[in-house]
Amino acid sequence: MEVALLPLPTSLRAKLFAAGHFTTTTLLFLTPLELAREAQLSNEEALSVLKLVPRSSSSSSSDGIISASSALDGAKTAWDLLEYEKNRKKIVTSCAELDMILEGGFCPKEVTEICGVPGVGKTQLGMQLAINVQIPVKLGGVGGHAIYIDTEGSFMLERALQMTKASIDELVLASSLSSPMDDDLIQQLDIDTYLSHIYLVRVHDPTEQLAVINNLPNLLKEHNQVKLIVIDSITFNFRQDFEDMAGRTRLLAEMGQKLAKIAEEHDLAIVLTNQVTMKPSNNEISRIVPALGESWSHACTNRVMMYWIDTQRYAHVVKSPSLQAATAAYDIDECGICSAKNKSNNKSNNNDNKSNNKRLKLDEEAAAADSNNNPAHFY
Amino acid sequence: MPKLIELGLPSLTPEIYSILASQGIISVEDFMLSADISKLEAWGSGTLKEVVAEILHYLECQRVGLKSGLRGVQDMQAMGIQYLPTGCDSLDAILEGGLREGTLTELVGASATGKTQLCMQVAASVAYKCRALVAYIDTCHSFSSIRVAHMVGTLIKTSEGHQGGVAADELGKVLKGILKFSAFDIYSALSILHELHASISNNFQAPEEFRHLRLLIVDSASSLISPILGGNQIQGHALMVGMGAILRKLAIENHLAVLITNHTVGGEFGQPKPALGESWKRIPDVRLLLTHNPSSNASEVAVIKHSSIACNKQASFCITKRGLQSAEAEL
Repeated sequence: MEVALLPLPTSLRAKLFAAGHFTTTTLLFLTPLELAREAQLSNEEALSVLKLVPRSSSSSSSDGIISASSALDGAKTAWDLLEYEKNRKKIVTSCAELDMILEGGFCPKEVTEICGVPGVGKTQLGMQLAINVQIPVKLGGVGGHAIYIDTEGSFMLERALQMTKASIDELVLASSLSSPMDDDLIQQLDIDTYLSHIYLVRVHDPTEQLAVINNLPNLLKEHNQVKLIVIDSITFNFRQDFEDMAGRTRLLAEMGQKLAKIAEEHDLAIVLTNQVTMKPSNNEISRIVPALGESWSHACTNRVMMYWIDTQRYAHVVKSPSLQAATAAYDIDECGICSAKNKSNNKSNNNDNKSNNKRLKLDEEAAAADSNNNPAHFY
Repeated sequence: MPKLIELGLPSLTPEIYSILASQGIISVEDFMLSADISKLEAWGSGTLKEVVAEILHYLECQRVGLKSGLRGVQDMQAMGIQYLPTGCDSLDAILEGGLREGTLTELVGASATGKTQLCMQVAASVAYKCRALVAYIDTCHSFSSIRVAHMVGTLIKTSEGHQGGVAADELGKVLKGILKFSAFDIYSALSILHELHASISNNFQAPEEFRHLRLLIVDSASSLISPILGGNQIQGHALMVGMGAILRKLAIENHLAVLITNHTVGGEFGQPKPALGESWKRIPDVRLLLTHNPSSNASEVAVIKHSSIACNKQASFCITKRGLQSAEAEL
């Protein structure tokens, strides 16, 4: 393997080239002291270089200082992964139909992106998941904590309190019906406990967002019971003030890979919310597409698109390695996300008047035009 | 070029080594450039002659010999280069058998066109039909073993012709032949690929596991390379070329079929073109473009680069619950 392909700082690489080491074969039989002397490195630098050299199991260093940990050790067979995937606990959404199209809920080790027009319920879903991740293991939940990275300022504490209360009440009712609750469970199902396990981070610009994501491994070392990270929204800071579009694409690609690595190593679910934009095209009508461009589409494992038809909200699985393309209707009430309610057909829609959704009140013509916005137009 | 002491030559004793070193001959390169062989041989004892002979023998082995075309074909037949079935009949038909061992195939497509589904289908098909080992390097959590288990189950049922359940140990045997590696940045992917190459090439000590490796899948290669390409990063291009080199080495020297995925970027006139730029174009031997047809809900595969097949062929498949089903191929 070439030395140029190792992750080394440029100055270190230059010193190795000057000493005549262009391939790792020349480094294989050296001790750190010999390398330090030859290439004029410090002992620590020499040791860090030799640790990076890939060694097959047959060759090992003469004095055993450098341990051979093969990159091939991380392999898992599909059979072992099947056992893991069948038994892993998923984070429910509190809406049975949504859970059904997700085949149980949001899975750990996966990055799911939720896109939708403003007001459709992305932040509400994010908050609901931050609450539902804490459902105790005894009651069939994941029993973990949540990190909520808020870039838009849309996390409302009063709403979170309202949703937490409703969720706890429901859980207490459900569990006390089956068996008397023990003290442990009572302690877990407490509003203060719930709210103290949602770690809220507020970021204001793209640099801060990247810094927070880079620092997540350290944060997760301190809070090792985190099972969910919600980033709401991933788009907001990257949509304006970027002259260099290619640079933005690179930054986003790197961010996507970092998040995927964190999800895998720490065994948690990552949920990102994304905004939408219109994509004009010459011969077809303009479509609504997720923001941040085509290259960003490859960063997430699953993608769920949320949209309105008339006054009903729908969620559609657009991209997933294991889920089928399916649509579910859902609603949002004072308790949080819930199953679709029966809407009466009268003109004065009382539900809309009372609810706080961002969507502008449409008159009937616009509502009729909106019904053309069906899933076939997304991809 | 390795140093002479590393070659493990039996007759290179420390005395002889110091004699050579005093002449400035430390590495094989020095030997080739500056040594006057006749002078060296005339010098000293018979052992020096032996050392020279051994070094020359080492150089002979390194040299890639010239072959006639006939000899090349004979070698190929002797090695038994095969086509690995992809599990999608229409695609096998246009590729005249499937994925050819010793070639690097690239799947290019926009998001949600079926690249990962096709990769999983190929993995399931090769693991079952060829009873071979498949290495799957996953960079974006797109490997779903539940989905692969469905695909293998469908393959078992269709070949054995029964509709009932699939025996768990049969399924287990096949699934144990698919190894998944996770790599989230290019450096870890490069070290996995290099170690794989070293393990397989090292004939005497190849671990039992890797002897039956026939297929390597990297999904997706572009998500490893695009963060480092472009901008002020001069290292990025070198890493991309290095990645291409090791993938081709694995295909050619280790006789594997290598399948990688790439995404698309906007090209001229709004037509999507493969990402990673012009330099990457020469790396794969075969390039397949996937597009999604919303009206028929099928994915279409077109051959856009191949060394021996015409590039006007197309196949299509639908993604169903049981795996990939061929739709009618258009020739």
